[in-house]
Amino acid sequence: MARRNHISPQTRTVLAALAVQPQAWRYGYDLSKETGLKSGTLYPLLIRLADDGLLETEWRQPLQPGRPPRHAYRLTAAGIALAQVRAQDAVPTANREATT
Amino acid sequence: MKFALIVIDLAARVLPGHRQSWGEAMRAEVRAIESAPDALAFAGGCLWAALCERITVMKAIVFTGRLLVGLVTALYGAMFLVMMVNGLTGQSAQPVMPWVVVWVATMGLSHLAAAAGLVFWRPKLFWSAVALAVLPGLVLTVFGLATQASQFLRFAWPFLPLALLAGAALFLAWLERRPRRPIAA
Repeated sequence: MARRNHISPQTRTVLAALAVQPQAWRYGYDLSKETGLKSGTLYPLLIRLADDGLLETEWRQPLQPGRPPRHAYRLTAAGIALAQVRAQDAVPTANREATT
Repeated sequence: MKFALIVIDLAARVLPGHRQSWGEAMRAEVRAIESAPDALAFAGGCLWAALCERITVMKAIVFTGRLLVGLVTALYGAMFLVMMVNGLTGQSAQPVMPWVVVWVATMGLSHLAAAAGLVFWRPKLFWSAVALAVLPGLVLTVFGLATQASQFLRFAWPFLPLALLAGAALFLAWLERRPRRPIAA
């Protein structure tokens, strides 16, 4: 029986972007530019990922002095595992599409 | 840039109380953006996200459900009050018993209170009003039947709409509390 997939393409995109450097802390604006998602789509996704324990958040001081702290994000171990599973799921799909 | 800050302040205010830290996160992010048009576009998106967080589809369904059921309940309560006024002004052909007037008035007022409690969802007001509507009918039916007068059975029929009202309120409260499905289900 096929596994139920509740992950939207936008969530998949965010997971993939965060999984590129799983240990690095990322900011909302940078993620928005990188994924091409508007903040109106990105923030609800970040909120849901954090609610589900897939994303950890932290206030971080930017490298430039005198700048206010920013909210930064990175995947938790569970988030990394989910991103890897979804990336593996995407490969056979991509292969199928390439052969048709 | 100033306009972007106004928009992001509004977004932070729109977010529900338990999401205030996310409002601060959005605000800090907008302040970090150097380009004014980008900051405004980002703030606009955040305002949209805040509105979506505040008004979910389920909340809209629950609110609409409460509004409709509340409206029907209010009309039903008003019907009792109209009955009472007609009876008191002598338009009714039969003589009116004082305890019947009290029962009808209690039914009308308690249903109006229950409708208000449901629409604005004040559970204490709603359940108190339902109890107030049930008790006189229950007392009249139980003690009336004890006197072997079958006419008192007519005070039992409002239990059916009251049961439907209580069931609808419980169902809508359950819908409101139902947990969201996790991403990795």
